[in-house]
Amino acid sequence: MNPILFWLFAAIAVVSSLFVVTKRSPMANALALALVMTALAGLFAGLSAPFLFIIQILVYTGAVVVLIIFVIMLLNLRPEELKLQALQKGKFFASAVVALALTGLVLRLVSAEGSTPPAAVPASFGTVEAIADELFTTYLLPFEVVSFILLVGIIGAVVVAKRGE
Amino acid sequence: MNPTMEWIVSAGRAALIWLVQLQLIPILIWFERKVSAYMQDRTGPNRAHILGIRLAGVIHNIADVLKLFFKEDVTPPGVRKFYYLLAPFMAMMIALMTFAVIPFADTLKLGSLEIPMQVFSHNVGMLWIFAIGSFGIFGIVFAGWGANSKFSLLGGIRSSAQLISYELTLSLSVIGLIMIFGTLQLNEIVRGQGGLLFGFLPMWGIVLQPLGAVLFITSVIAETNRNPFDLPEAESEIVGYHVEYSSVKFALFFMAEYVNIVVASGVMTSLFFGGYGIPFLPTEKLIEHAQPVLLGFLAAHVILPAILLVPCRRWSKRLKQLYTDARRIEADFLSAVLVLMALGGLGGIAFFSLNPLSGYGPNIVAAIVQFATFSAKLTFFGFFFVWVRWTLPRFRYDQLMDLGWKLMLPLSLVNIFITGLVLLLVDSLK
Repeated sequence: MNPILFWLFAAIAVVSSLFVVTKRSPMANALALALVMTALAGLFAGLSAPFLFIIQILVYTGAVVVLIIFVIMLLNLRPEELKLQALQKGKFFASAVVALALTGLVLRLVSAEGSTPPAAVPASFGTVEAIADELFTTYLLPFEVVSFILLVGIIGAVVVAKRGE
Repeated sequence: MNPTMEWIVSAGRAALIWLVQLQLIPILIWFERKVSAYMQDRTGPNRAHILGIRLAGVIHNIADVLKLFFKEDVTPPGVRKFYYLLAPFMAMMIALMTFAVIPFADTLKLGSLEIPMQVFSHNVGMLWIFAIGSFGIFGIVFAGWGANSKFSLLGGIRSSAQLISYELTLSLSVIGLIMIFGTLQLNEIVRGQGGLLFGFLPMWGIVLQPLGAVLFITSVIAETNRNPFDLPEAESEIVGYHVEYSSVKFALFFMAEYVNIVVASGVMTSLFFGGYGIPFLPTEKLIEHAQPVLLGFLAAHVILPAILLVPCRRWSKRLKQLYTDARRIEADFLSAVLVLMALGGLGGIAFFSLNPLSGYGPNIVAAIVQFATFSAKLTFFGFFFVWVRWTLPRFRYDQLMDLGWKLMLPLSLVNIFITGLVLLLVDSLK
């Protein structure tokens, strides 16, 4: 991947993820989240993962963030309704622990992989065909289990929504 | 190919599809006005003219553009300015980007050089259309929410709910086709449609997947927010998400709608109507027979204007009786153009009979013929959208949601299931 593009996408991703947590308006948060997801997709595109690139846009930017902005639009909160809440101590510690653990994990990965140059990947790596092959042969059971869990989620949502009637 | 050449070719292709898309906007608007007029027993626009040239109302578009650009650009107080200004640009940009994967001719082979005739020829193909298409909701939501008005908010909510609902059917309805051709690459799907079924029927998507085609066409009309699914704009009940926009900002939404139609017709053509392919004439044969095809093309260039010249002369006489001003000369001007076209065609025939095509000539001719075929199909389906709009009445909102979720979504799942069964059967018979 072209280093200029890599740093550009990386910078966009980091700066917008800061916006996600610091901006006050929920729509700004959602827009920043969309930017993070799109920048990550750009990184995938450059790192020989074309399928992941398109799915990242399709699922995260196109579906998840769209759902979030749709809900924000439905609620249509006024600025005065958005009160600042002080961060509770418990939540603060929980977030800190998670953040530290994640940083440790990333550092561990970088120190393990950093010295060895990455091996060249085969041309078919990350294409739709290669991923489909793996998904529907080696990982068929996990795939089916995940789809079943999603089905349970959908039915659960319907049950919760219909309970009042 | 050296990198500079590659850049130039890529930029050329990108410029070409932008030009095609933007050029089709005035033609579609003209269709819209004239078709609606004739369907309602009116004449439609026929006044605006440049030096007497009216071109049956096409010139009206120029007047429209001037009006939209010179109108006062109002930004209502109380809007959420950033989103309000971002929305029209997002709508337009996203509409223009989607076209990138649609092939407008087969890969042009010049010796060892292969130029794919689509901007983004990656094997993710179809997924790109869905991915970028799902971005389209951002423009609508930001417009509806950013304008901070109840009407545009309601319009935005209805519109985005509709887009989200029909996107499901849209993507599920093409899965059958992808299963048959075994690829997401649109160029390969189009090439696959060049084959023949039972030896005589062109393997167009609509022949292989009639149900899929109907579902796709219906949901793509819903996705472009056109009648009978034009609830976002439903003038009589509610005003749409772009109610607070004026002048160029409104024009961008308006243009984005037509660009969306162009994209939708492009996808429809490529998936279900053979794309750039001419039935019974796959690319290899086209290159082989480039000479007669070219001569036939040029002959049409002579014969059609010659035929049109007769009514044009009659019209000229009528115009001379009717008008005393510049409009008198319109028919004469058109006749001159027709004569020039015919002469050009004759010259072309003379030139190419004396110097038969050689070298890369046939390949280039084949690409041009395919591009012309694609443009013709694209324009026809643009017309189809207009035709549907002025024929059918609008759905009610609950009917729209019922149709999308309770009828079309299950049908598209059934379609996938049946396609899978048939494919298995065909495989086991082999």
